[in-house]
Amino acid sequence: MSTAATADASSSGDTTEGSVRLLTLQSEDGEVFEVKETIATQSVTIKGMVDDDCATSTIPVCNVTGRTLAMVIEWWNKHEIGAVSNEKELKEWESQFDTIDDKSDRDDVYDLLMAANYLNIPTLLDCCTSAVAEAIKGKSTDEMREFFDIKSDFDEKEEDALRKENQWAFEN
Amino acid sequence: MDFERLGECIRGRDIISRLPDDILVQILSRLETKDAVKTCVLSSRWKNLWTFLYNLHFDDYDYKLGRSRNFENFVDRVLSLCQCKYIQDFRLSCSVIDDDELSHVIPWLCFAVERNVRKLNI
Repeated sequence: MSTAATADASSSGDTTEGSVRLLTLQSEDGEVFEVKETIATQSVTIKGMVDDDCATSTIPVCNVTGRTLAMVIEWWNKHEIGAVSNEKELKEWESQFDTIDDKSDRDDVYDLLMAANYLNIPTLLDCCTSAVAEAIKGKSTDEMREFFDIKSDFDEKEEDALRKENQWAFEN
Repeated sequence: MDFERLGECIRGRDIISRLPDDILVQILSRLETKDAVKTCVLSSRWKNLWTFLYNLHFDDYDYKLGRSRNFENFVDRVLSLCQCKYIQDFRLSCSVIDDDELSHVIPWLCFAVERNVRKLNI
């Protein structure tokens, strides 16, 4: 029998593996994942369901696609106690999530943020909010609007007034 | 707030503006306060988000030239509009060379204490 540490998202079949209970999660687009309860309870939302005995049937994970949910499960697997040998190795692995180099990375981080928020996964939320903050740093207003596709709904007068109200922030 | 205009702004590809307030505030709280406040001009969705910051980091880079009145006004303004009751991290870096400057700094520190600051760095 494989140990708890080797079970992953592709496990299927019984709802238990050895003495480890498996939970069934279903993404918004219908993909089904079986995940060890000990791993999935890194989500505060799922832990609450388990504690309240509400995790006996398939758990729908709304607003999260199968692609994103697979990434979330990969995150859980890596953050399971004992999954990686040391903190440095974990940080190195996490670094693929904590930088946003282009708009494709950006969209992945958005998806993960929504999932981390819905499932309440503090470690993933921390990593993704940090990635977005890093992407904001050092950008001018126009650069931010371009990178994040933000369309201003202020007219020139309103924007000037806001800049004036917060003058020091804009002159440094 | 003009909801029609706001709706127009958050449809389309502007996904970041559709994130919930608490996530956006978490993102902004990871920035220097001046960078967080600068996002107020992006669109009306961002106009007041910075008033919910729970980390406040003020750094007067040009302090060697003497503290600028604008820096003082900025800190005063941010603190007066701050809606967060529990400040987690308050960092302040500026000169205090005379009683006048000190008289400004003391209320800032009192503010941090009143707002239950957990980490204070001066």
